[in-house]
Amino acid sequence: MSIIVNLDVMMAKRKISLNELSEKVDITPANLSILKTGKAKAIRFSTLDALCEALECQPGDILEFQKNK
Amino acid sequence: MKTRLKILCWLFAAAYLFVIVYSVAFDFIPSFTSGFNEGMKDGYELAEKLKENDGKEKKHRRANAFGMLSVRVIPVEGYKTYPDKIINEKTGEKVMAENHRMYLKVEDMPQLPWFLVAGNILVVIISFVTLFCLVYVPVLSFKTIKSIVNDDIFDEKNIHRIRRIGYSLIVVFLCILIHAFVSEATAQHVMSMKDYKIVSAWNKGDVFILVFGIVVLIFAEVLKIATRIKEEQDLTV
Repeated sequence: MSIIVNLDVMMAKRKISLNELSEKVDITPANLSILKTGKAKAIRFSTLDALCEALECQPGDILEFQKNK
Repeated sequence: MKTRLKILCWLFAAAYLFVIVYSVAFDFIPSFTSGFNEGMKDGYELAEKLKENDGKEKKHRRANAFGMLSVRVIPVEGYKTYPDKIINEKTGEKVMAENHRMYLKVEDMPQLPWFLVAGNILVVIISFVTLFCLVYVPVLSFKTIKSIVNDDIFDEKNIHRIRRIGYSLIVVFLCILIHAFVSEATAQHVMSMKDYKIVSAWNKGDVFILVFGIVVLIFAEVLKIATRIKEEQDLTV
């Protein structure tokens, strides 16, 4: 898929663990892991909103578009 | 919502089971028994004749192998013209009657042309295909129902099973069509009747098998789309 999820990068920058983040955004660690590993097919605005608030970043910091080669 | 689906599945399973048991008990077993007995009797008679005639009967009997025909007939004058008369045993009166289906047993079959012989051999082969499908469809149906009752609806296996049910029903319809066509052609080659004309032996009701098969295939495709949406939904964070 050409949308890349950079959640792991942002988590490393903010030095926050998966469990901590999942508690902050009120999502199960399993679902957050799906998003982190790029297996997710879609993301709700509410989830993105919560993630951006918890990580103090913009949606573009979490999601990135890369052209398929 | 799921309770209603489960109730419908149980009802379908019960109705289907009833149809299977009923057709096996009242149709398949008596038909098989009479056919088996007749075959045994014929075989015994043939063996006796072969003994007497030193093998000369063999060729003649081979020609009779396709002598049992199931045909649909309509009166030459048209429907509801009642060309036959039967006696009502309760009153002794003659009652007008009309046949629409006949099971014929032709003792002296003429030599059939090659395409009819080939057609009748094909009918024997496709009857095994039909038998397989008639066993396979209930097996697949009950597996699917079991899966739905166990809350495992959106599963690839179910899609494949439902698709196979659809294809099997279409194959059964084609087999019925071929059988009807060959029976009609053979009957028309062998005999003609004064008051009746032989028509193709397939019923209009058989078309429902085809329609049902196509509906089942459509349902399988809808289920495939639903399964994909469900997968996407499951992977939406």
